[in-house]
Amino acid sequence: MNTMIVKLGRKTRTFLSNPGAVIAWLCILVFGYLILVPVGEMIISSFQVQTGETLRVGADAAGEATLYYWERMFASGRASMQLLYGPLVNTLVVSGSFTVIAMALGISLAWLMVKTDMAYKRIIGFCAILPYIMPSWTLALAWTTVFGSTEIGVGHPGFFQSVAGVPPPAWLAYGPIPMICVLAVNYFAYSYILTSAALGTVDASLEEAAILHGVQGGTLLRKVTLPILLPAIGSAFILTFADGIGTFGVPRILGIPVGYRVLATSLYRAANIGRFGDVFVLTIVLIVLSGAVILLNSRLLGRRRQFTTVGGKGVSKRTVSLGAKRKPIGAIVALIFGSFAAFPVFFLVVQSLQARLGDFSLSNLTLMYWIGEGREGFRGVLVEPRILSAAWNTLRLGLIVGFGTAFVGMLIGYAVTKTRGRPISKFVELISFIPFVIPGIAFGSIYLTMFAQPRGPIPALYGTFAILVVACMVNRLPFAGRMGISSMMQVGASLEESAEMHGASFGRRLRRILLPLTKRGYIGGFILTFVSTVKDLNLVILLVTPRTMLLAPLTIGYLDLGLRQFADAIGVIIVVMVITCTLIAQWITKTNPLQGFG
Amino acid sequence: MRLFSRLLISLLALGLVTSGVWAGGAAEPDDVDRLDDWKRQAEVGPYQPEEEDWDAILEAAREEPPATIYSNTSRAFDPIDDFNEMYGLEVEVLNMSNSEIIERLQREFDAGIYNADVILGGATPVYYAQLMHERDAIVHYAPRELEARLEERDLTPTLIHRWSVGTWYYSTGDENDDSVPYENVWELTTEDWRNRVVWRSPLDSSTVADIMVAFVTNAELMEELYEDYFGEPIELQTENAGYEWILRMLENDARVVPSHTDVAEAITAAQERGERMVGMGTQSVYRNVLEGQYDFHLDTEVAPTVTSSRPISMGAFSESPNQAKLVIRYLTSQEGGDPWWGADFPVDPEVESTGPLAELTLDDFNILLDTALEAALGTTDEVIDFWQLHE
Repeated sequence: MNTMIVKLGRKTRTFLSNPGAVIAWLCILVFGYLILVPVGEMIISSFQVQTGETLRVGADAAGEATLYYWERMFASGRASMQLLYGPLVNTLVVSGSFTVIAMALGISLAWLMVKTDMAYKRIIGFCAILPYIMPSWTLALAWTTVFGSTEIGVGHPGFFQSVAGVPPPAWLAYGPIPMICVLAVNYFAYSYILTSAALGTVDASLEEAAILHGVQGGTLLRKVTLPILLPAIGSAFILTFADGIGTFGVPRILGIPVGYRVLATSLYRAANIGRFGDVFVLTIVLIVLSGAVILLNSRLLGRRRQFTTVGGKGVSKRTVSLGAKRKPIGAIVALIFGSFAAFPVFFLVVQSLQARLGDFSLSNLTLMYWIGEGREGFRGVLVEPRILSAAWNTLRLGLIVGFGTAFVGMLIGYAVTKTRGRPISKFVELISFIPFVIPGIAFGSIYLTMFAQPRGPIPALYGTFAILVVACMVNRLPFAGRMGISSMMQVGASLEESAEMHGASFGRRLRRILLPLTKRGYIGGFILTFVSTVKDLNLVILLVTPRTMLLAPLTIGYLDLGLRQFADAIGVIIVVMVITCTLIAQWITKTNPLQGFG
Repeated sequence: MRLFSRLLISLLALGLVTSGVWAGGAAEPDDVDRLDDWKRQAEVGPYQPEEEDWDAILEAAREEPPATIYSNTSRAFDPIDDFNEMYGLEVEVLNMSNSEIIERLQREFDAGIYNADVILGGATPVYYAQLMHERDAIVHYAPRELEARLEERDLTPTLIHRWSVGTWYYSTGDENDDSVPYENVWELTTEDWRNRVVWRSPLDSSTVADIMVAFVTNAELMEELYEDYFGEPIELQTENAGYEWILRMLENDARVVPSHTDVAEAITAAQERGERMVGMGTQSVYRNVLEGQYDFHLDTEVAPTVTSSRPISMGAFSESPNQAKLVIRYLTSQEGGDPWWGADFPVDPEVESTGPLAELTLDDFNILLDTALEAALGTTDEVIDFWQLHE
């Protein structure tokens, strides 16, 4: 008996002395409760008659078992075509296309920024991040400001038509092409951030060694650089694609006016009219779709070895010299990427100043939507107390979620790398990634139901600020988790091991070794989370209440009322807020803005 | 690879098992008794006194937490500001679209959260179906003195705040011509009107849903109108002439826009370009035309129009029922309802219409359809399904 206790005690001690495993188990417990339980509930609910649908389904009571929703989505001829198959094909076309374009843009830019001596890097680095921090729906609005056509929808002529005198072709105004363009511009930053971080940590001596051995050009790229970059490229692909298929703002603005539907708009629609059976099935389809992409990715990358690129020694940087062309190339790149950000912001500002939409004359400019009387009972955005309090809530939420999630991301990274090779490692990685494949709107509605009443140790959270924090943190976990894993992966185990040998505690190792070496990853994680939280719409729209109102959901209210100028103005406020906070974060942490995004 | 799939499967299994445990653990409260208890305490429904003591209500209201109004109209902000100042209360208005109000109330009610004290919205049959039939999320309340002046239809199933008419706007493209540019509602399905009609989805707009439901439930009228225009009986590809009309409108590239403001702007823009265009929406927007903001005409003659009600009700289990009563009384009064009386039709015969639209009455509409709520319950769902299949 005694020996058993001693054995158990020894085992516990060994277990506890391995912080990686402890954290891994904690992650599984907490995330399991916050992620798996809701998903499980949703799967079960998709087979039950939803409240309020007894009439439609032809059942006696809500909660009865039914296949109605699955049949309706998959095997009801025209209904399935309209609700599921058509939108599914559109989703794949749009997401596939824009992901490829976004990655090409992002990776090329990362290479130019990190591996060459191109001029004007600071400006370019700053510009490149701007389209990403703008909410995608504001880019879509800016697009309609330019390519709006009198032949489609409300029929405000865009800037193009005002100048050219003829409406733009229909395919350029609305539909898949504009959606792909807007999303590519909005999302290329993922690939840029992730690959430039990886490129930045590639020790040039690896490449030099290869060159010394006579490897050159394409082979060098294929055999040395690319394999090191692959995990980052893979992450970028997943992040871009999976986020893209769950976006509804852009397809709503650019797709719906011409009847071009994707899964996210179908889902949003179904949620909007309270058809939660449909919502659950569509959500599961989206989850399976994203899951398939992730499996594909891990299949492609899983066989490759992970590379430790940060050793205990200095990293020597080696850049390609562009010679005399470094300035012209820099200028052109700055111009291209600058315009991605400048044009949308410019047109947003212009539109927010238009007394009447679609009239681009100077006499039509007004400040009424900013500081004036406004319209329909709403005062200008800078003098409307509802907007000011929403702005404060948004800022608070972004900061808390940003810091919190980035820290948890690092813990995930640590747990995954320290238990590498064991099933638990993959388990943590997988579980922390699941929220990514759950569209925000569905996530929000699940959380609304789940935490409305006290559950276990957690009190009723509905209507509180806390539920926004929890939902946003869990929802952003995948970003931070990927960030944490790729940062930790590059920290050689030898560093921590030697510190441990010298008696440094886990806390000390964290403080003195892990955090400093992964600082860039942490800041990157913070910025990504902060930005996506501040501009988020889908997740929070069901969770906000008058007392916890945020800026982005407020915008949708204005859009629903057809009050574009208010929406534009709030979009500008969000952009300004995000840029300011990003700059402050970098100033405080004293990191170079360029590296800070890594 | 195999490990990964195995992990995925076990993760899902784990999720299912754990959530099953939670689902099984939830207890069903005895809702009927609880609602009755609340009604007794709040003095509503069967417990509403024959004579209400408004001083006592105000006194009780001051002890309550600040009430929240779910409103689908931003016009509620100003009167509630005045109301708060007058009574020293802190009632809050949350402005949401109609579908969001319905959706939110459903979710909240199912979750046992009673956040809304007063609900001011557009009544679609879905609204009543979900909030009164499937759930007891909203409760009828009308101040006694108002109730005495109203007709039955202004009080069922809840108090109606005001009536509105789902109708048509048009531009002629010619400043000097204000005659309706179509002679029959079926003309809008012809090539002449391709891409020249602007409306909203019945999923987003209760007015549009009401019009479509009325067309479907008045299919004989639609058949007659068809024969009048085309001179031959209709050949149906769908269930009836109402659905047929919706389908042909969709096939004729009718433009779908998100808000009523967008419809008004689209017609105004067409008028300025010298083009004909037709839109569907509530008559109240015509006020903005008279005020010079928009430029189009209101069709009261040709196309069938539909009455559409805007109910006001109390949220079940409200913690501030007395504030809710005061709010409902104020918003239905001449003073508190002022933002609406110039546009919609007040139910209270003692309240006078004011403002530019005051001249217009319900009698001015040539063909005014009314949809019986009970008949419309299932139809709205069917119309929404139909729309989703063909949009």
